[in-house]
Amino acid sequence: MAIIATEGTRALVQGITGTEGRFRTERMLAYGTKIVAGVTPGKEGQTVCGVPVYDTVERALGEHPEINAAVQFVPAPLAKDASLEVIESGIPYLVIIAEGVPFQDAMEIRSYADDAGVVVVGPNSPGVISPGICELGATAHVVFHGPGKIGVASTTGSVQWYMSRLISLRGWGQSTFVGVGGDPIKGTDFDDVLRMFEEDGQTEAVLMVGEIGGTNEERAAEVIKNGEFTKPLVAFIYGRRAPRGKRMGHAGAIVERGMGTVESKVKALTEAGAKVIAYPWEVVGAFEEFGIKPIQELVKKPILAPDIGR
Amino acid sequence: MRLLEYEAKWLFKENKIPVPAGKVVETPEDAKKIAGKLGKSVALKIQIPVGGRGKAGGIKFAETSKEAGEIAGRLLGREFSGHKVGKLLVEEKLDIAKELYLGITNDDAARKTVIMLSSEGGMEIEEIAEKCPEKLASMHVDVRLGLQPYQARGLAKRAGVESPLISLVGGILWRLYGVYRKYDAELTEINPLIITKDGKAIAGDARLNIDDNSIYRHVELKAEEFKRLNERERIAKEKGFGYVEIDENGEIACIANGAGLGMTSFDYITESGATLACFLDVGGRFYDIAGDAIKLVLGLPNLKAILIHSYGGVTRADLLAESACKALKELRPKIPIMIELSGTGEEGAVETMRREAPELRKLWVKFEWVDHTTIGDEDEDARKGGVDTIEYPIKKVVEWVGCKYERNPPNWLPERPQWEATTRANMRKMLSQRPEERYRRLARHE
Repeated sequence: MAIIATEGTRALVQGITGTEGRFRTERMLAYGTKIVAGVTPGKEGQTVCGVPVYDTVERALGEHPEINAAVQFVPAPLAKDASLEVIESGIPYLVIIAEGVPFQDAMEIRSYADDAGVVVVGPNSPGVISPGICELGATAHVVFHGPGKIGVASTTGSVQWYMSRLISLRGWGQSTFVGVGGDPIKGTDFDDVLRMFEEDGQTEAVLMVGEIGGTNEERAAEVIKNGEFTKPLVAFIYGRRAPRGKRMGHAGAIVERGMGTVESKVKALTEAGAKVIAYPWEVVGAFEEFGIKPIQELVKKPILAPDIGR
Repeated sequence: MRLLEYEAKWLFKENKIPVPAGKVVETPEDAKKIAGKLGKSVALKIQIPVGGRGKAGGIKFAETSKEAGEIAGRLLGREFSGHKVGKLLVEEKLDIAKELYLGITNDDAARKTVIMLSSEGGMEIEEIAEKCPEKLASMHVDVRLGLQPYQARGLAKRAGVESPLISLVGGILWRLYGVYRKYDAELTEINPLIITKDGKAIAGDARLNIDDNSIYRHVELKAEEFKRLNERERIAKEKGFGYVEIDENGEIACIANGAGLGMTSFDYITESGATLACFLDVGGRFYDIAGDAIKLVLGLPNLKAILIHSYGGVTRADLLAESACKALKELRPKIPIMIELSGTGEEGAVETMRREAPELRKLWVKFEWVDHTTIGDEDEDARKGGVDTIEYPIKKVVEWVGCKYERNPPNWLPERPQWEATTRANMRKMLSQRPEERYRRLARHE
C-alpha cells in the first residue's frame, strides 16, 4: 500500500510553470505519478507537459475534485502562503521542497495543518517516493527499487542515497522513502512517519537516517517504547563529531543547550530496541540480523537506469 | 545570526523594553567620555557573540571616568573565547534589588514557541532549572494565536514574582514576545531582568538570535550579517553555496552535494585524526560550479587535499565531471583531489573521467575518481564500489594528508566488524544475480 504517495494519489503541483516545477513535473510524470493539475497565479490556461494550469488551488480542485495531494515548488518566502492555500482547501497531503523557510512560518504551517488534519512533509524535503508507484518531489529515482518492504525516513538525501542503493541491490526494495527535511520545525517528524509505517502492511522494517540537533529521534524512540511502532528499526545518525553550537549545514543541525547530541539519540533508540549503526554500509548487516528476506521479483527486475528523465 | 548585546538592546529600546543608559565605544578615550557623561559608576562589557562573559572577566565596573578609560584600555583588543574585542558597551551601573530571567525560543518538539520566566535570574537557564525549578514557569504559545498580556502576567505569577511587580514584568515579557515575532527570532532572552531599588525593571543583558532563513525580511540585519562573514563565507553566500567553516587551518576541504554527506565525511575524517577545514554544500546544482567551489576552498591557508563527494539524485554526475575537469585544467591545483561521482548521469561521468584523465595527468594534476560501480583507472585497483563508496574516497584523502584511515566510532556506538565479511559475501551474491550487466561486473570485484 505504501504511505503518502500511493497508487491512488492524484497530485497537484504548486509553482508548476517555474523552471524547477516544470522540470520536476516532467520527471514525476515519467516516473508514473498521476499529476492532474498545476497552479501558478496568473498562468491559468497554460499547460505544462500536458497538465492544465490554474490560478488558484480552489479553481484546480473545482475542475479536478479527485486531487488528494499537493507538491510545492515555490521559493521559501512564498511557502507559507502557498501552504496555507493547500491546507485550507482540504487536500490531505502536502510536500514542501523549498529550503530556507523561516522557522516561525513553518510553525504556523504546522499549526494550521494539525487543525485541518493535513499531513505536511518538509520544508526542505527532497520529497516522497513509493518506488515503482508514485513520486512527489525531487528524489533520486534511480536508487529506489520497488514496490519493496523497507520504509525509509531521512533528514538528508545524500547519505540516505547510498543506504537505499544497498537496500535495493540486496533485493529488499523500499515501500516508501520520506524525506523529512533538515529544518528544525518539520511538518512530519520521525515519530509521525513511524506511526504511518506501522499502519502500512507493505512495510516490513524501517530505516531512519537522522542528524544532530533537536529531539526528533528521541521522540521516535518514545513511539517504540509506548508500543505505537513495533517493526524492526535500523537507525544511522550523522554529526557525531560536530562541535557544539555550530550549525552544520542544515538549519536544524546544531547542538544547543546540551540538546541534540548524537549520543543522546543513540542511547534513546538503542534502549528502545532499534539497531543503531555506525557506518552506512552496516545497514545490510542490520536488516539481515532482523531476518529480512529479499523479494525474488525485485532481484530479477532491473533497477531503474541511472539516466532516466534527462 | 546572534546579535551583539548592544545591537539587541538597541532593538529592545525601539520596542519599549527599558535598557540601561549607555553607549557602545571602540576606544578608551570614548569610554572615558561616556562614563563622564553618565556621571556615575559604570559597567564596561565586551561585545562578543558568546555567553559567559562575566566569568571570563569581560565585564568590569568603574567608579570614575578615569578608571573607565583605563579598564577599557585593558579590555579592547584582548581576545576572549577566540573573539577579539573591538567594541565595549559602557552603561550606567544599576542598583540591583532583584534579578529575573525572561526567555523565548522555538520548541521544535512541540512546534510551538516556548516562553520561560523565572523569579531568579542572572544564571544560565539550565542552572535555574536545576537549582530552583519552583521559581521557573514556562508555557507554549501557538504563533498563530500569539501571547496575550494576561498570559504573560499569569506566567509571572506562577514563577513567584511578587504581586506589585506582576504587571511590570508581565508587560516586558509581552513586549519581548513582540520582538521575537517582529525579528523572526530563534531565541531571545533578558537575563537578568533587573529590578532596581527604586522599583524599575531594566534589561541588564539582551540576547537576540535571528533565524537565518528569515534574514531576507530584515534588510538592516542582512547587511550586518554580511559584514561578519569572512571572505570565503562571503563568496559562498554570493554563489548560493551552503558553507560551514570548521577550522580555518584544517587540511581537507569537503565539497558535497548535501549537508548530510558533508557531516558524515566530517565524522569519519575527524575520527581518523585528520582535520576538516570546511564543508561546502553545493545543493543539487553542481552544473557549472565545480570551478567556483574548488577556487573557494583553495583560499584556505593549510589545505592539503580536496574531497568532492557527490551522489546524483538531483545532481547530475556527468555535468559535475565535465565542470570538475575543466576547473582542474584551469586551476591546476597543487594538492590532490578526490572526485566521487555516482547517480544520475554516472555513465557519462565515467566516460568523461576516462577521456580527460590522461590529459590531466600530463598537467601534473593529482586526482582520483570513483563511481559506485567503478574505481580509479579502470580495473587496476580493487573495486570497492559495492559496499563502501562513502568510506573509500574519505580513506584516500585522509591518507593523502598523512593520516591512516581508521574506523574509530565513539564508545557509545556498537562496533560490528563481523558484519563486513558477510555483507560483502551477501552483496556479491546478490549482485551476481542482477539482470544488469554493470552490477554483475561489480560482483566480480566486490
